[in-house]
Amino acid sequence: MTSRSIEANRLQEDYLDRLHRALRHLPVDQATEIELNVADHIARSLADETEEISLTRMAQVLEELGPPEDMVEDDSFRSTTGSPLPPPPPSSPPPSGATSADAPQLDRTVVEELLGKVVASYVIIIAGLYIPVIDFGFCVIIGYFLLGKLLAKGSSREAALLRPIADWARITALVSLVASILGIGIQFSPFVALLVLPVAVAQFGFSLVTDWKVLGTSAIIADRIGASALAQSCRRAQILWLVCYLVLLGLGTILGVALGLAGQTKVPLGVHMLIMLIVLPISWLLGGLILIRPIWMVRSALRS
Amino acid sequence: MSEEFKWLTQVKKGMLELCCLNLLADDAFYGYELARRLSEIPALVVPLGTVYPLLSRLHQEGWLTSTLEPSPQGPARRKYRLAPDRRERLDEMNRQWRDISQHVEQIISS
Repeated sequence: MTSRSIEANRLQEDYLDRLHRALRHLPVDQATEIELNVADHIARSLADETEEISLTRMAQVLEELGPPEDMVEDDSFRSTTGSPLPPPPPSSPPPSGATSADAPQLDRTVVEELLGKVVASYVIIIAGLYIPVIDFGFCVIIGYFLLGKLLAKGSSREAALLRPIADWARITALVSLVASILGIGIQFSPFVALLVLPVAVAQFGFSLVTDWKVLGTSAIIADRIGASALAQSCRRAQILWLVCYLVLLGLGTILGVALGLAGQTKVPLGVHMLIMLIVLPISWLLGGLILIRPIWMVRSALRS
Repeated sequence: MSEEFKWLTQVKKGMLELCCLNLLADDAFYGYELARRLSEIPALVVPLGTVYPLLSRLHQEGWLTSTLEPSPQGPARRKYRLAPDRRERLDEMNRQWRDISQHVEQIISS
């Protein structure tokens, strides 16, 4: 075998590593077969070389093969032969319904990692959950910003499944930021008050859609891994969370109107304390139980 | 990716599969040999790496049989061939392709 330069070897190793990662979602047999064929392709392409394999020559061979990430066949290309698929091996889990049977396999480790990020972001959001017309909600901004940032990365099938959440989370973070700025601005100019209500409603709407999508995606993931009871529980959580939002919105509105009628521009200390002692702990409890717990359970189910 | 490009990619991929099955119907090939043969078809220019996932899938789906053979250049290599019980299905696919291409050609030429 012709010797290779260190750089050429490193380039090949890097390519094979990328290929290995790209094929993670495939059954082991299939991924190994592809990896062996690609390794053989590289070896045979360079078999007739008489001089040491340079970095440029190795790059040429790898370029011929194309990016490793492109070797993962897209769904639209599967089974164009229309062949009846062979029966699943005995070790395959039985499909729990059309969704899990038809959908491509997910890499559980990647999804678990992504859901871990979702849970971490929501812990920050729920920790700062507050009636937005009163507080500035910094934790909400940071939490949704993180959620948007963390889920926007990656090109895998798993990342693509969660990416729509990232878009909504980013909008929510932005609207929450505007709401917070207006919250500060209201102390300096009464005209800002005109903007507060529509922005607060928009913030509610966007965060509700984001949370709804997070729970919905968790339900889809649970379906894909055959945990249909867990999927149902995520869907129930969506409805419950919607109710919580409406109650919270109602409370905020009542409080805002009451303060307006009383001619107050600031929340009195007593009301503030009441919120701190009652509303906030209830929000934490509900957020933890209804929103974070189902996502956490789906994440745990991926491990088992 | 533009719509036009997506369309062409899908056509090429479908054709690649048909050509791959036809080549393996008459002879057994290593993945590397097959990839090289397919890359010689000008209309089907695709990255060579596209062929390996295709081979692996066709193998998993029972279209291909394979044997592992020792290689002087590294690990054992897989040699593929069309599964005997799929020959009839391939003939049917070829008939369908001729039929489709003939009709499409008529429409395009008219």
